[in-house]
Amino acid sequence: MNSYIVPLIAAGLMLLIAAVISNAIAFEGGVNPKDPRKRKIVFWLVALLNPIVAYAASLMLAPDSSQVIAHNDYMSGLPIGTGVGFLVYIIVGFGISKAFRTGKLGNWF
Amino acid sequence: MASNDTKNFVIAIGGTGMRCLESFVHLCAAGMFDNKEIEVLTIDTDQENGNKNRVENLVQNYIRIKSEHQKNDGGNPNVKTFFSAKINLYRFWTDYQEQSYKTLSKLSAGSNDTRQENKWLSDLLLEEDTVQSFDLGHGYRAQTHLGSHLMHHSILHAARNLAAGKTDSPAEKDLGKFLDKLGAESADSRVFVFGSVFGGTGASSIPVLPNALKEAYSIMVQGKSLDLDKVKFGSTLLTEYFSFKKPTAADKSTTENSVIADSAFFALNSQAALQFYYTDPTVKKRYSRFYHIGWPSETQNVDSNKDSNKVITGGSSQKNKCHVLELMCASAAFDFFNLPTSELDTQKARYLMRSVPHDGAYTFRGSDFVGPKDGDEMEHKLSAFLAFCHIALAINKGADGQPGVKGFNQRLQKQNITAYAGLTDEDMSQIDLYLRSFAYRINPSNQELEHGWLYQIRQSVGSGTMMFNSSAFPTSIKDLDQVDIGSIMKEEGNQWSEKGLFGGESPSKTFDKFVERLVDGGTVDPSQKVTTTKEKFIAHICNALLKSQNFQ
Amino acid sequence: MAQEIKSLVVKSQENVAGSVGNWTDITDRMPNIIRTMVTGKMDEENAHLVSAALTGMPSVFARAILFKDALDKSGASSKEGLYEFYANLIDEWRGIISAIAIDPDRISRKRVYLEYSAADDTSMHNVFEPKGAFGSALMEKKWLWVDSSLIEGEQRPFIDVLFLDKNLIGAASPESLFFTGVDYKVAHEGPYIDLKSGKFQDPLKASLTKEDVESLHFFVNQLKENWSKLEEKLRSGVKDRFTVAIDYLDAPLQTFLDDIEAYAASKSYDLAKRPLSIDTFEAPFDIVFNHSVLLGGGSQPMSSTSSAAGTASGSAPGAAQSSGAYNPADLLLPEGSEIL
Repeated sequence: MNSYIVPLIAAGLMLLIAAVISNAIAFEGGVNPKDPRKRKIVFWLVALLNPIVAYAASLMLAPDSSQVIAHNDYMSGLPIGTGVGFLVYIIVGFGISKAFRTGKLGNWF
Repeated sequence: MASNDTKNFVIAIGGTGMRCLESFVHLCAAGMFDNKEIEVLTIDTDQENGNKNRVENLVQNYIRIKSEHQKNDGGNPNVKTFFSAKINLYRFWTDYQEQSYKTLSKLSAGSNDTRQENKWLSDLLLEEDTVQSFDLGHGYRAQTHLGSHLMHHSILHAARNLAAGKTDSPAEKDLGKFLDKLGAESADSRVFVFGSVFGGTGASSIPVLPNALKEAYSIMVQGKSLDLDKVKFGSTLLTEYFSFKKPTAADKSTTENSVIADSAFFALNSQAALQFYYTDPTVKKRYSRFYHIGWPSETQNVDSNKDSNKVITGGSSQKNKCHVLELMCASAAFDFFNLPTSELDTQKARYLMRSVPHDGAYTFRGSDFVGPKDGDEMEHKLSAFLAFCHIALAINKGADGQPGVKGFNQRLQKQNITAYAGLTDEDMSQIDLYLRSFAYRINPSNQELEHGWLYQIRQSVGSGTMMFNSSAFPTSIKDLDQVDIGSIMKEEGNQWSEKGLFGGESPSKTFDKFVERLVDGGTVDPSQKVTTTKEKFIAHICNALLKSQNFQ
Repeated sequence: MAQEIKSLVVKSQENVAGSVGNWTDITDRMPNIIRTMVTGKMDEENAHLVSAALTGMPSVFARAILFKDALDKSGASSKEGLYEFYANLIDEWRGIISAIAIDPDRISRKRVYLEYSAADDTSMHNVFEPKGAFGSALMEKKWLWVDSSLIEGEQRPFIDVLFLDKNLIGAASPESLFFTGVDYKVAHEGPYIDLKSGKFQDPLKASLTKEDVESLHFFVNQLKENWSKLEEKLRSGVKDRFTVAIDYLDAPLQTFLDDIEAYAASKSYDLAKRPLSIDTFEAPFDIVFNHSVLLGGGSQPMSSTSSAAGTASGSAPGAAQSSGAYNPADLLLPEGSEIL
């Protein structure tokens, strides 16, 4: 398995989790409602968790060390894949936020 | 249906007339008079009257809400939104300070014969030591025979001053502006008069008003006349529904206070007045419609919560609580303004009344005020406006002096809707002020919930119901935190409560859903005819609220 | 089960039925609603305050209108509230009629034209001046208070105020014939005066001489026979502006007559015709109030001519030309003399 795939999938799943949690946070009343900030925090917290989860999942799915070349290739690409996954999370998250700018997800950015 | 060209005028006279006007203005605020421009004239003898000041402040705030920032032009008529009617306010009051009938009439002026004849006439019809002598500063004190004569001629006096260019009085100038409007629009104009038949100023003025305005206009604009065949008049015939402390001999001990209104005689006064309204040829000719509204139940004692042992003859202390009959009077105006023109082309006045369900207690619905065709709309609009109040005042803490309406704008901006970013804090605080008078506020000195108009209306119904669920009227500050804005209306189909995870009502879920509608579904439609930023902002909120109630 | 409803009308002894949802037309039911209103009974202590309390009538002519209403409703069975007050007013009405009948020489009249003193209406004279202001307060009813025998351009509203020994007591009215003032107080003794209050009272409650009863009977009968002429005159003035009908006067006048006759019977008075000589009033009231008794004499036997439709001077039409007319009151005949 390509070491980019798992981080990409992880990014997608983490985005989904961030979206579900953000949507579950109710709109608050008052002049200075705190809910937009809460959703922003959720997004960035999940963003921070994303590489950890991506890396751990990728490790779990790495080729056996007995397959030396495959294992080495996989492991060498893992950090880059994790980084890419993180960037994809941010960029897609930004895109979603702008696509739903008036909704709850619009509070991400 | 009345045509769109029909011009609408409202005249509110005296304390009771002012309270009816208050209900009328709140109906305008809720959106019941879509696309209408209404000229409102207040008339009183008592400039300091608490009811008068309250309603005039309310109307002036309404006008500010409708106006662009720092203008005071009242904006434009809108459609299907809150504050949709445009209201123009004119204020006329008489200034009788330290005057009595005797001094006003100048009984001691003129030749011997003139003085004698004037004295004979006065003594024949008005008691010399009491009615002719009391201080008119606080009004006519239920002496309607005197009041009708004085009010009639006070209007003519003002017109003469205007015609001669001899006035600095803002009251007279406002009357002149109102007359100009009435004269300019006299083809198919409707004038609705709010007043009681049992008190002083309103009772005095209703019969003489059409003729007085006609004569005044002719004086003011030489060579022109109001065509009273085209200007249709309607009025309330509101009989007594409150009482107050009986005056004692001590209260009446001075000449200036020798006449004090006594609510024990209100019923007799009403009987005499109704007899007059039914038989007088001038009244029957000038008015097309009389809406007789009475209270067949116990009257409200307006002194019951007051500390003072003194009878209040008027002035700023006279501020009575609102009553459902006042809303009924406002609904009468609604009927009058919406009648087909052909129904008003009658030779003589018609007298109307209303009946409502009463199974041991009153159960008022919208249709009981404005009929089955518009009753649903009234309930939806008042409910939406009440929800607006709860969001601004309870959820956004506006009742406590915080900028509750600003919370809506802040919310929209946080959701990247910046169309209303130009609204100032002052713009939004005007709406806060209005909502507090409509619903409630927290008194800063004692931290208690002070009831506004709709709450008082509901209380006046006693153990009965007033259109909405009782949970829609939280009565303590603690309860405000739990108010469910989605459960105001009785019908389940119009409620917008969302069930929580484990069932049951969830106010926070309701508000959550509302904000979703606010950001997604509040978009203003061109058919709403809103042009200013403030009008668009209000329409946006109204759309979201009505959508939440499934009202299109 | 039918829904229970309540009509939002003034408290009434009768159930005013209606239906929910719409404004119900009660135009035809208004008289009954008004009549059966719950107003409470005035106790003895407050009875005298009813007059002061009845300031609910929104016209400066409230006093005159109340007399008219009292006569119009004189047959009503209700004795509460306004109707109790009406009974008091009819008493006063009888009293003032009696004063004119019994003591016509003590009654004087002054016509006050209801116009502003200043000749120029557009000047800044006092708009509150009673003469002019009360005139404009008449509004449509102005046409009842003019002399319709004049051409319309010359018709000026007026009120004939009445005096008893120079004390203002009331006025003539097209709608009630007479009404008393709000504030008068008469010190003069007489069967038609309640000495305690100084107000007019029904003289049949006091002690009347035979002559008084006869004078009263004659005058009331004259009013009863001639009110319709006044009504005709009023109609000619009002034209089609509104309906004029003062036929409600017939019943209280008939009742008064009946009561006088009953009183006479109770006193065993044998009522004889006692024509009055009254020339106090001008048009339009002369046709109903004035009466003259004139004798014709000369070469023929003396005869009497009695006329109610006299001129201001009181001379009767058709009086004997050759010898002139005599008023029997001017002849020094002993009391009890009869003209055959």
